[in-house]
Amino acid sequence: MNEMARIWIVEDNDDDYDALIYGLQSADVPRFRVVRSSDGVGCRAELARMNAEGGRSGDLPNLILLDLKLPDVSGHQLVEELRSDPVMKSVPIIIVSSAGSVVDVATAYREGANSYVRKPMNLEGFQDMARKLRDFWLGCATLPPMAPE
Amino acid sequence: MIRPGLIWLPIAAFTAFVGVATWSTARLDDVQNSTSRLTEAFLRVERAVGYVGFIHHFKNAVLRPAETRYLELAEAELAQAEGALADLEATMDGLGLDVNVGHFRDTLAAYGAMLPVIEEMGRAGASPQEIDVRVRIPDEAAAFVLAELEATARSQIDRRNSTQKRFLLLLIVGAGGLTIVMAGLTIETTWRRQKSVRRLTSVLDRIETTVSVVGPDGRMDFYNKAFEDEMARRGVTLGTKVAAQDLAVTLAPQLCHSDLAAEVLGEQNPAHAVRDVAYRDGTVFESQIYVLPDGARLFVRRNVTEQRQEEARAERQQRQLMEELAASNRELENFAHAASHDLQEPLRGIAINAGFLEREPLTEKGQQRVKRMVALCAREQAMIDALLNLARLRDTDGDGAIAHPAETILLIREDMAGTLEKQNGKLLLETRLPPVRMREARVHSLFLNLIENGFKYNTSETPVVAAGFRESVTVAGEELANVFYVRDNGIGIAPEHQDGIWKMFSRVDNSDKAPPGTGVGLAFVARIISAYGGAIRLVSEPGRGSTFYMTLPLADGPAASQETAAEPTGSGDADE
Repeated sequence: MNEMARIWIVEDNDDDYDALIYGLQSADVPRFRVVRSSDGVGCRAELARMNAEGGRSGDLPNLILLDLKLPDVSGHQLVEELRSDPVMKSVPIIIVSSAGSVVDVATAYREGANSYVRKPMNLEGFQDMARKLRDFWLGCATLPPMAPE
Repeated sequence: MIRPGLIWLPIAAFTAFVGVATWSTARLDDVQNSTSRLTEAFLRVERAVGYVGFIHHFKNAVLRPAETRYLELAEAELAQAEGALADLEATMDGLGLDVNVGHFRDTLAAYGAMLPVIEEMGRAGASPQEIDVRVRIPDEAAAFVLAELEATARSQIDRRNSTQKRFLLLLIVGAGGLTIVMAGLTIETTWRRQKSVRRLTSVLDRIETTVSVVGPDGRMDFYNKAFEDEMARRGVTLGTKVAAQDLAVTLAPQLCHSDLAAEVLGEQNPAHAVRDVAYRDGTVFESQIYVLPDGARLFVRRNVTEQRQEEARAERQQRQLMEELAASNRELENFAHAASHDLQEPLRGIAINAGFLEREPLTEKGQQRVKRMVALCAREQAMIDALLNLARLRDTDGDGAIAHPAETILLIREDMAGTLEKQNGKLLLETRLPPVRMREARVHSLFLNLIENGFKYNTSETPVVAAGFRESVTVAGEELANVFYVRDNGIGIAPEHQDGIWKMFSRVDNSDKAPPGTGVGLAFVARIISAYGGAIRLVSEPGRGSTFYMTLPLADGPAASQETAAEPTGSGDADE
């Protein structure tokens, strides 16, 4: 973990966002930068910006945390768009959603999400989840190289 | 409409009678002939012998000895008489008469012997008186003998002829009688048959089912009134021996399907077939075809229009109900999912904010209140989860699977090892448990809820929960077969609370002192059991523990019937 972790959080609910940040902080993720989009419009704007910069600035995320229930667009739609984006297609997407129906889970994986996590019900839960994400995605797993060839 | 049956019998008898009568008449003629033949033979003899024959010449020879021609004539007549006698004898022999002509022949011979005497005396010049004295033979001797002979022969032939006539008459009368008896029998049988046929026909004419028979020649042999009426309604007039094919051709345009001809003509020919015949006007007949032993086909048709309409209506109604039910189930499930999600959303917000608040510097009182908030959130969350699980219960995937409750209970014991150690508790498996036809997850929920309750509501120093199986148990007078049980030595349930425990979110003690719980556990258990057509009964007494008895679908037995899936009931006593 020499480099700084960059995490893109797509989440409309402020409480959940705060809990997520609190969880990441208290889980001792040493250095990370967060980009937040709170709806589909924001998400697409961010995607366009990252594409425009072509990753030169080196601030492409190496992990995306995505909520399925957004005010203007379905998270499933965003997964599809991210997966067909030349810059973003290989960045791991972790769905963090309160919806837990079998259909949602199956759809998300089919569309290319890398994992699906039920949104915890309290602060301790968020801490626990963040610890596990850190251990696996920022510890155990080897992520794709940052800059596009 | 009925084919002739026994008419050949009197015809045969009459033919036989005619034959016998003709033969007998011919025989009678023969008999008549024989009599006249006999008479002629006698006449010939009489003529040759009598006063125009031999006797005449013989007398003349005696009276005129000088004229020798009378002797010659007498001699010739005698020879002729002998010939006629031989004829007569042959005739009588031929007729089978037993008459001796010896005496008559002797008489003729005696006459014959006299002829040379007359000749000699005549030549010697003797007078007729002298000759007459010498050759005196009574004139009538021959006539008498012949008459006697004829009388004998006649009486014999009359006797014989009358016997034959009697026999022949008897034959004719017998044959005639037989013919009459045969005819009578035939008439009687035919009459009786027709009577039973008439009765059968009148019975068949009274029923609403149409009955018709097509003979092996393809023509209508029989039909009842209902059939006739039905055909009349269809514009078909039934004459005698209508060809079934003509009928089929006339009816075909009125039918919804055109293969009636094949049916009528028996092109498909199973011994018995049932099918519906539908007319364009909406009438439907259930048609049964039986092939009779002689190859005729019996058609029995019942008007099932209303029945079919009713069935179709009922089916439509049922399908609609099922669709509505499925839709309502889907709606309910969607609602449960949505509701649980929508309920969870703000609750999570409250929990997160309470969590943040907990980490702020607060007064001790404030800390307590926030902690209470967090705990309440957790409980609310558990209740929503339980509700969601309950809503998902109807999901029946994998219900044909076989689960082993004993293995499930051992698994639960492993999972609860920590709790058991802390409480100094024991989870016992008292008997073998038969496998059940249920989803393993359901069996797990069932036993887990009951076992957890057994330890949770238990103040004993050594809490014990035991599970087992009995082939029969009587609970409050009710016989239960193949029963699983879970028994604990916990606090027990008072009779007044026993009916309420099965209700959603109901808890006997809902105070803060009570162990944590949502009050859905037993409702969940009851719903699982009723979904599998089983029953659950409670036997409990405060301070003496509780026993839950359950019937579940056994893997190798008939599933518990729906009738036993009554509302769960509680009871104070049980005879085990």
